[in-house]
Amino acid sequence: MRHLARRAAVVAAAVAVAVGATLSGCTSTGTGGGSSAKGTLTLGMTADIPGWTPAQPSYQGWPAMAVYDQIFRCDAKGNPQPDMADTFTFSSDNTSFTAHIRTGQKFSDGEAVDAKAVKTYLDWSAVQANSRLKGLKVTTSGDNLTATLPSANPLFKLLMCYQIVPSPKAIAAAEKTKNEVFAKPIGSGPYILDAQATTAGSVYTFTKNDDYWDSKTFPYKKLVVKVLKSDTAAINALKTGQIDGTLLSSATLKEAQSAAGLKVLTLKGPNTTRLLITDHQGKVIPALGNLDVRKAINMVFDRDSMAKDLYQGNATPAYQIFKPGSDAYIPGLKDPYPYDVAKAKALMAQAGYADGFTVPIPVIENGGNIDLLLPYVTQQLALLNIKVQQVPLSGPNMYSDLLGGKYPMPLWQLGNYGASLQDIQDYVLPSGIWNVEHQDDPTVDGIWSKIVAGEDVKKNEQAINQYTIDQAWFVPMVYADNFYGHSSKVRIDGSTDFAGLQPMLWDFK
Amino acid sequence: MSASAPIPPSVVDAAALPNRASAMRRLLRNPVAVSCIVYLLAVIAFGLLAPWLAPVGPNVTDLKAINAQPSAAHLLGADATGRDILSRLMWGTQETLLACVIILVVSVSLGVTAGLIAGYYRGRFETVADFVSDVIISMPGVLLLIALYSLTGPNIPVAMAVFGVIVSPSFFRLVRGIVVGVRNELYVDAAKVVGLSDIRIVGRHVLWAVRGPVIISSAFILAAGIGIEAGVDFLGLGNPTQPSWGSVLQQSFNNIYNNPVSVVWPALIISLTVLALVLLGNVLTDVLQTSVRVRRASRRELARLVAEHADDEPTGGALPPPAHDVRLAVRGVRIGYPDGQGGVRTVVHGVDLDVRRGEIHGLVGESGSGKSQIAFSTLGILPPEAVILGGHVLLDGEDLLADPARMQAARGRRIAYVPQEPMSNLDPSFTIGAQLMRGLRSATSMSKAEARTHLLGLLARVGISDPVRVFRSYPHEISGGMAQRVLICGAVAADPDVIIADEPTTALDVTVQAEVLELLRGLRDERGLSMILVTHNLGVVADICDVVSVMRGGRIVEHQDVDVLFDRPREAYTRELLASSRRVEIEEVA
Amino acid sequence: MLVALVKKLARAVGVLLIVTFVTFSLMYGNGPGIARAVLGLQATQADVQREVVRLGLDQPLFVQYGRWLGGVLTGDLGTSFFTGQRVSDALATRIPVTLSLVLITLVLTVILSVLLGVTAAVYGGWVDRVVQFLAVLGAAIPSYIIAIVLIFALALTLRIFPATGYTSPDQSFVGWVSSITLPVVALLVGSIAGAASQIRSAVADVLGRDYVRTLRARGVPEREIIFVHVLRNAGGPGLIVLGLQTIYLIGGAVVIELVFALPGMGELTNTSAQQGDVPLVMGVVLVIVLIVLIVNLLSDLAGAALNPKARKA
Repeated sequence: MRHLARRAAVVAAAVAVAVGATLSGCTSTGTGGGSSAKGTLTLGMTADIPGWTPAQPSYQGWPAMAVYDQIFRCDAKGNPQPDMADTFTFSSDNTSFTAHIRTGQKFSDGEAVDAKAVKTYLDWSAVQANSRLKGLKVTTSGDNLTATLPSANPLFKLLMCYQIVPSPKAIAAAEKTKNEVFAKPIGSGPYILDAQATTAGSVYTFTKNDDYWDSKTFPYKKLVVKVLKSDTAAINALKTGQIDGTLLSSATLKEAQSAAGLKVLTLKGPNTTRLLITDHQGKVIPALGNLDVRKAINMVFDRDSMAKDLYQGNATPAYQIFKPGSDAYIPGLKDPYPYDVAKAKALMAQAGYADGFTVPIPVIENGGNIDLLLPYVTQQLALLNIKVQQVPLSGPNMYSDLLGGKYPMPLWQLGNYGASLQDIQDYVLPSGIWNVEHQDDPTVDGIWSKIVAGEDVKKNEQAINQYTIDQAWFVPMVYADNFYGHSSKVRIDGSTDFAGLQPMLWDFK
Repeated sequence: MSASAPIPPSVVDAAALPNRASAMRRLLRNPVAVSCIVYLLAVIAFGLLAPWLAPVGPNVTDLKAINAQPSAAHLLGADATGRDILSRLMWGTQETLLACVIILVVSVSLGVTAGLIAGYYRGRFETVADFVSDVIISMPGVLLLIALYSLTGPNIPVAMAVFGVIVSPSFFRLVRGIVVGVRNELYVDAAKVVGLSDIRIVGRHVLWAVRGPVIISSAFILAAGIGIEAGVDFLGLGNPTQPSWGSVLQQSFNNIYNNPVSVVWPALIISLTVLALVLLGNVLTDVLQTSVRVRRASRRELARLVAEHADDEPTGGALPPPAHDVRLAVRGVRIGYPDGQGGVRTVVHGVDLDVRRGEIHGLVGESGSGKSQIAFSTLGILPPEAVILGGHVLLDGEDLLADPARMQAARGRRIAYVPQEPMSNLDPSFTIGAQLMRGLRSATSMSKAEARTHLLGLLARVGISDPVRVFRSYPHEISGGMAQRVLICGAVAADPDVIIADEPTTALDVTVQAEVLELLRGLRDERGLSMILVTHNLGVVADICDVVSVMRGGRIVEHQDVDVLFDRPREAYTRELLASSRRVEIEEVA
Repeated sequence: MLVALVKKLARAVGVLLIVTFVTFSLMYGNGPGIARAVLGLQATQADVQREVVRLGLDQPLFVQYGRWLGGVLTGDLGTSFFTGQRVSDALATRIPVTLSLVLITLVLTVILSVLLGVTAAVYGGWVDRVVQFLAVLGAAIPSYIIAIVLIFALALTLRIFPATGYTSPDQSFVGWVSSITLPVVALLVGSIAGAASQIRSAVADVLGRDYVRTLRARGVPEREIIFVHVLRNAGGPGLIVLGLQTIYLIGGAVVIELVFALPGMGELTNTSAQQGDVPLVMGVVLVIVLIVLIVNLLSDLAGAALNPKARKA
């Protein structure tokens, strides 16, 4: 599951997640280093790695982060920072960048890390892995590299975040296999895989690569990552000291908080729980095309109670889908649709839907807390005579079914990003993955083209936000926190993940 | 053997097939069964009455009640989304019960039907059915369910139907095995001869034989079904939108750190219901099976029972202390069996017998008169639940009943046994020779070589033409007549003084009967054996016995020399026996 | 005897083919769904289509099955759709885990249930009651609840055993023992419960046979009767019981592996089947069916060795 990555948190794991508001300060990497060399860091993952194919490091992608280096690291807002590229410039029209590749680094098979190697990777990726990079033209001259997209993409910088680069020999070998399989990870990262002590699917062991240019940021000589698929197994391992850190869920949070010798890192609100009313033109369910109906739906949820009770205080009421502090976020926004069931009923009657209608909402077992949320959502919508048909999805088709357009109003605890352009691309644009009905909207298209052209980006992002609020395209409910439990022997100042879901490998001190 | 005069109620043979009415009554009298049935009915009511009795609907959420502990508002507390657990369990009962019923119905209809057809007609159908059954058993059930899940989604009825298919081979094998056995029974042949159609035969007789084990298995399958349903939910293959016991358990389990108590309720109801079904299954096993599992009396109980019955009325026909030429003397032996209510039901009310040197003593009576009991008691091989309430068995003056060690020493060596049914009395897993050797070497101190020679010679003596081949053969490789000769050989091998023969010719063809009797008489003449010959066949008595005792209702009613008995029977009962058997049997045997 | 063996083998192969084909067809037809799950939600339609072709999921059912079967016959079980790992490698690391769990539980089950079953049948009394009680209890309480109780009591509170994880015996023998103790115990309770009472029945049944009485009448000491004759005759039914038990154990292992985070086949099955990782699922099915068939074959052979009548068949 390569790109399921960021979304995986909310899709595959029942995790209540939050990101530290301290984020804004802790953007640069490599400064916190200098702690004395330490022994072994053992981390738990709740899902196995999706193989060693280079892709943007996934949710809980510490193994990939350990063994590969990337062209750029990004800060919490998605701005590229030096890594393999030690100096670089991005063009202002979001079509290209030029970078100088740091010299003196080697892949673990002896190949040199240079502009040619990076080009090999980018060329391969554009064809074989990431069609968003399609048509990317890459040229090298000495240690410098220039990459140009065929057309402007405001998310270009985000796209380039965490592009991990394997050795060109590894790429060549993969191309010979049937499925572009990377059997072994050959990277130039801060650690090297210890194949002897590794059992795929169970435990991955890495030893420190002292030649890594930023090795001082990684104080641990050995890194062990264990796969512990159940929450219970993970918390038990943490409590008995078998691992030093793991993501917590709403089920295991209390245990970690009350256990001696454990600390809990709060990652505040990297998810927005929301209904996505993607059928704003009423093509699938006519009622949803009516603005009053959508507004009424917004008004039957007691966000304060949800945050305090349903999420047990580990959430904050949300009135907009974007992350506080991101560009699209409108600071100080007052609740545009306060909790008022009577008023909502009146709106429904006004719209001519006093008798309500039926709407199917998909639910995936153990997917994103939906099974915990749906009873409440169903109950509240029923107050408006809106009957919710809960549709359980399962098996290999569940995601394609979920996003296929049959269910015009999914309920999901979806990520929000430090770089709100990502949210707009995924949720608001007609082509957005989660905009499952993919219905056109000239207003949004108009504003977006301005953003593409680079005009007043921040103001226009907020304009889009306001538009979606006015049009009640979403029913934002709460920002749900994530929690990471760790031994008090390990120091984590905060997470620099721009999705805010977990501490990155270099955040462990 | 017809009996025109009313016969007083004889003792119930412990192996009699209980009829329907008595089975139901016994079930209802068993306190464990009753409590289980009451509990199960309550559970069913719990589920069916949910729409009226449940405090709230299964999905009603109260955000203020999240993870609430048990209280007046929520008797069993609330779960992680604020739903009342009691209500969810009540509503979920229907789901769970439906799941189990589906498994049962599917597996029974498939398995029993296939078993009936395969067992009755055999042939190609059976081969195919066996193969299919093998395939199904090899299918890892959970795997199949998971693969199916990706196809059908969380559709519990379908999943349970699939599990029913997976479980059906066990019914198939059970039923097929029984039908194959029953099919060869005489009454099925009789029905065929009379002209009953196959369906009637199957419907009436075969199904009848099968119903007991199927009912019993059903109880266990239902119990397993609940576990399966909960397991399926636990693995995440269930329907998250429907409450069921398993899904409530799974949700509580995921939430265990926040609300540990919430796991207790679904776990409890699941466990108790499975428990009730399993216990019920055990009781049904006892009630419906032909071999009733009778509890053995403990040593203390034994002593108590013996003491209770110490002063029971002595037998009619008591004999004076044995004379010196009496080899084996039985005095006042009383035998009883536990009646299931802490007491004992006496089946032998005090029997006196004398067997002189070289004498063949016939012990006659109808089935259930207690004659076999006496025979077993002299050897000490009564079933373990039997209680000897009193009496003595004197072998050359030594009381064997008084000292079990003495009985063990005498058994096989001085007093030996010839059983009734030849085939079932030979261990099918060992060769004839091995069994004979074991018996002989336990009773004597012969070496292997000596024993072998001795036995081979003896086999020849009892009329087996190829002793070496028989020695090496397995019981299923020889005929019934030969088997009986082998058993006789085994009995006399250690050169005993007394032989107890329990209906030795009853199971044999008429021609073979005569030969065996001849053999017994010959052995008696050669070795001066004393014999007790238990039989209901007065022809045999006339043929070979010297003295006769007539038993009825656990008592000896008449005791005479054989000629006197046939000429001038004293008792009315004896006269009846003679009359009826003259009509049927004596005319056959010369 | 040889003919029978060949027939049995042919049958086994037939079963293998049918089971694998049925499983394969159940997972067939989800090409785009699987491809999307592999690539993630970010992937474009073009990416998804390319992956479908790459994984061979656009081929008809028989072609795909044929390819897989061909691979199996040459020893290549394919590679995982999701991780690219060779299926044989994935299985090689996981089979020992599940086998340790199942085999050890099985051996202990055999020993303990035979002990309990025989004692209960022969002596009756309190042992018989204990066996009945255990049978009922073991059947009633789901194994995962037993697992939770064990974890709470012995791993978290008393810290005698690790709560999760598996140490392979070549890394540390003591570690291996301690990591599988709790999982084995959790499985053992239910396993003994079923087996002991059935063995008890089988033994009781034999004890009630006529020939046992006749052997007693010959003067054979009770001990010899039980250990030589009764056990020999109860062996056949006993083996059947234990054979079935093995199959149930494999199923039970799935759940236990999840609770204790043991990287075994059961856990692999669950994940890969739900994701639609067909090569892995097929690999697991193959292994499991093979194990079941071997167990059946062995118990048939052993049964024939014990029962002279069956040797004719």
